[in-house]
Amino acid sequence: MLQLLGKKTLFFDGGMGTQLQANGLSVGAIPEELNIDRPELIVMIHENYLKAGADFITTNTFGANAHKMARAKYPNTEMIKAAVKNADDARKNLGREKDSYIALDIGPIGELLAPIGTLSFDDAYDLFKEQIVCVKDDIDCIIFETFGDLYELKAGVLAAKENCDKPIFVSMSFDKSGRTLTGTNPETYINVMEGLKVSAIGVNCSLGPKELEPVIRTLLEKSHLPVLIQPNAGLPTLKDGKTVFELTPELFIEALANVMDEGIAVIGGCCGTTPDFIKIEKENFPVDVKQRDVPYRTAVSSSTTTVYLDESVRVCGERLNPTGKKKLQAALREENYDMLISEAIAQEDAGAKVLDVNVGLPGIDEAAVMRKIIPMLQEVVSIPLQIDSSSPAAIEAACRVYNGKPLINSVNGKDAVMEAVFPVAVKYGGVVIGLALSEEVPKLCEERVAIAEKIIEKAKGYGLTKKDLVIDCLTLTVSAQQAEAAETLKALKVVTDMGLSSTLGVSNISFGLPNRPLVNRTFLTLAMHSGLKLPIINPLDRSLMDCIDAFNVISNVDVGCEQYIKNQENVVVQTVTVTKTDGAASGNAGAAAAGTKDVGFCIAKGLKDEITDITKAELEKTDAMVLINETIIPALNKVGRDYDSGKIFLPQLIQAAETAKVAFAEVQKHFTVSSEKKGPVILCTVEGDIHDIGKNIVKVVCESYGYEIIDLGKDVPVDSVVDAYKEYHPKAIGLSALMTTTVENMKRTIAALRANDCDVPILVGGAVLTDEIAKEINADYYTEDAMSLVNLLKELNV
Amino acid sequence: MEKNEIFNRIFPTACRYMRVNPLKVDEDFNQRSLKVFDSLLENVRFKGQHEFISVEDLMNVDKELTSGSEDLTFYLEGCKDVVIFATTLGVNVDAYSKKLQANDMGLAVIYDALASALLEFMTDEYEDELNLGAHTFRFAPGYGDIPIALNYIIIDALSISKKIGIYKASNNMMLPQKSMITICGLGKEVAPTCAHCIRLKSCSLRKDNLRCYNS
Repeated sequence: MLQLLGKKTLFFDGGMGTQLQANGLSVGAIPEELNIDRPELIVMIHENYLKAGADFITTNTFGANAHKMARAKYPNTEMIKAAVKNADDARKNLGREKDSYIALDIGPIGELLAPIGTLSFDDAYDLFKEQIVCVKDDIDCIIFETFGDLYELKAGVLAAKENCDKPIFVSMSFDKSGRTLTGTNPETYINVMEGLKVSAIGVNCSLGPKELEPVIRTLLEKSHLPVLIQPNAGLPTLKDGKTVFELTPELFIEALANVMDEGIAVIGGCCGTTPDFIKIEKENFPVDVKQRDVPYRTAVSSSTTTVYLDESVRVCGERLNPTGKKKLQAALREENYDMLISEAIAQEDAGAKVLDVNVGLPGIDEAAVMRKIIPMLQEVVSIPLQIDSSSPAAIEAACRVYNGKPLINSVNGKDAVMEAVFPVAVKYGGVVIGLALSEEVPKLCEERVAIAEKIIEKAKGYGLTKKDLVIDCLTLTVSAQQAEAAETLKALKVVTDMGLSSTLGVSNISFGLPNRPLVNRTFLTLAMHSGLKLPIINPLDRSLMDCIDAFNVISNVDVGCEQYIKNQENVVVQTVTVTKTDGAASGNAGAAAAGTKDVGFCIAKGLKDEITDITKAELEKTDAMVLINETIIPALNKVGRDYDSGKIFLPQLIQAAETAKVAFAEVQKHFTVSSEKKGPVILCTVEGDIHDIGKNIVKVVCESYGYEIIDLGKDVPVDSVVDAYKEYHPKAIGLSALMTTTVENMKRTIAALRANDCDVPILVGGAVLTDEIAKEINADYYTEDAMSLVNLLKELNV
Repeated sequence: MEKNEIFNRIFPTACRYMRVNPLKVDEDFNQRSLKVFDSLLENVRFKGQHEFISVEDLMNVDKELTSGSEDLTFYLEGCKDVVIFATTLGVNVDAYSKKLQANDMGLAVIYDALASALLEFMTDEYEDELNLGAHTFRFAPGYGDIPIALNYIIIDALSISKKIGIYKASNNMMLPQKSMITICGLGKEVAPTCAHCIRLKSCSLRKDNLRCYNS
């Protein structure tokens, strides 16, 4: 089959569900049961498609995963085996064993993967693996079809690749907006699936051929893989209370006229199509597949966004790296990832297009932290991540759970490093940064280029091309190695002329010099002029970002100066005379700018953006402890009273609480030893419950009152709560549940805590809870909202 | 419909969800709500699906579940057919909520309430376009004694995940979070009531003189 694929047009079959419904399948019945209950019907449908000209028989196993089949009367693997046998019987009956192929059909599991949903990536993998392993020797290929979630598809493809050696076809569904249900666009789909090295890529279901044309065109224009299409028979309409599809076979083929000769390798049909549709496709499609010439690009992807690293300058945010950052180090050690998440969001909002993620710290299990933090970051930012580690195990762990095509940072010229990292990049489809250094850091441009060439050559041996690499030409500190800065710029130029993309950690250049931003800006500008495509910088540094805006205008990338004007139109230009200043003076300037508002006023009004400067100013004249006890706490208490009496509402209470938290953070900088926090209090949403906004509200309000909160997150298994109780010795535990169905898990959690001699108060809350239910499930207290919980904690002296 | 008109239509409902008296909100609150409503609209990818099926087919999707519900029998008594609606605001709404929760919890609460109200509103509009004639109010599994587990059965039976992207999560929950599966009986008028709500006795809204329904 692989010899024909992409050269001769091959034909899949058409709809199975609609054929079964036409033969009496009722609403709610499980189609896969028919593989055992009515094999003759399934065989007949397959035969009809083969007679119409299909080369592939799709097994009747679309929903045959163990989760979906939990209600079925047969084990899912039995139904899959029967389905494959039916397909085989059909081709034997027609003497087509040699020239037709059995495609094991795998549809989505029907649950969203974490972090959006509750199904873990590993569980999804296992479900797919089970479907594949039971028939892997009896099929010719696997088709994953109608997928809406790229992450789930990745789990499926990995399960297939690691447990079976048959070709893998993938097909996603796109809506009229040109995206899948979870927001993936065709370019991203292509980039990720080509990285995973599937055999064919396609689109099916959801729309008819005309509506799918833009997606089909993108697949043909941008993918190097054979393209597979299986449209519906047009759009569904309602006729006499029944759903029918609008297109006849003739209209269907007419709607495909624009793309028919453009290089489609495999064609079939989805909902509403019948053997007549396949017959007319066979009569009309060219025998030979038109060969397409698609240029290769250097591109990385998240699940929704693809960033090309070989066109204009794209910023990689550098701030998720604990080197030299004590707070981030502490946060990583305490597994308090809120700070990383805020940093990630801030960098994306500031214009970063890729985010570097480095969690390397002595004593930390980097691979385990990567497995946790990558999905958490991908839940809140939409840009691709750069997996930055010197540990191949951590890189592999991160690449496996990463949703998209990652940038891997990095290899260098050492054989052992490349031999450890390149196989990971090949397996998961990553772009790799190659550092132009080996045993030593080379001084001259020529030496760096030689190492880059070695990396390219070695990568080739693994099947990686120049487009899968980005070369880091090395920024050396100009105060120590002044002559080498020019060598870096020369190397950038050579590497760019070689057709490679390049990166640099820019700010290293100015280490040890005064007024570092000036050196950084100047170097960045020169580097961009020499071809730098991916500066790794702090995107919150406006002066650097402004340089890029200006560069894009001057180099005619920002056509019409559109982006420049958008970013710069409100900038007030001042002539600045740089003078030596000290910290105190700048602090005063901030306070002066803040005007006459005081800390209490800011808390009451929730002026989060202003309170830092105002708190700094107050601390100039007021003792930190006095400010807490006489201003911040009374202001918070007043806000609490106003909330209780209905003068202000929940969003305002939270806004005030968040503002107080910022003030607290500023005040704490003035304590020589950190001030004693109240608590700790463990909070979580119980197992099976994914609704965490209520728990998060409680967290913010409690933190504003100085409680240390250990947030276990949502959907927290019973055992994890018990483990956390043992590890953190909290003074109270708060459990949240939104649904009646998860109150049962709350009860189990409480029972498990009690069984482990938990003697601290257990507080429960959530939409469906009441005092009565709290008593029934053996909780100590029920609180109706965040404020009453804080009041209760105070009463309990927690 | 203009953005501001939609906002004005849904804002009182969103306020009720936040236990905020819409008559007492100040300008700042209003402005914040309007601002976050813009972000909400940027993230909404509303999708709706509806299927007309017979009451008999509905009751047969899982007899064990449907036969135990007195409310289902009561609301559908005399109806021959029902329409099942599945509507969702899409996954982007959840993703942006998560981002807001990390950055500005106060705004996240307003956003969440506006999203819930917007889903109701868009489902109303979707329903209105069908001109159903006499019909019951839209009720959802979980309302009264109608088993919430029906959500799962309906999602599979009508291929809802595949068609509009509402997925099952554990414990009969659905994702994206702003999604609904609702049922309308056809041929008779029945208005919704608080009487069947499981929180009737402990409803905090009622304590604040706020009501979901008139009776």
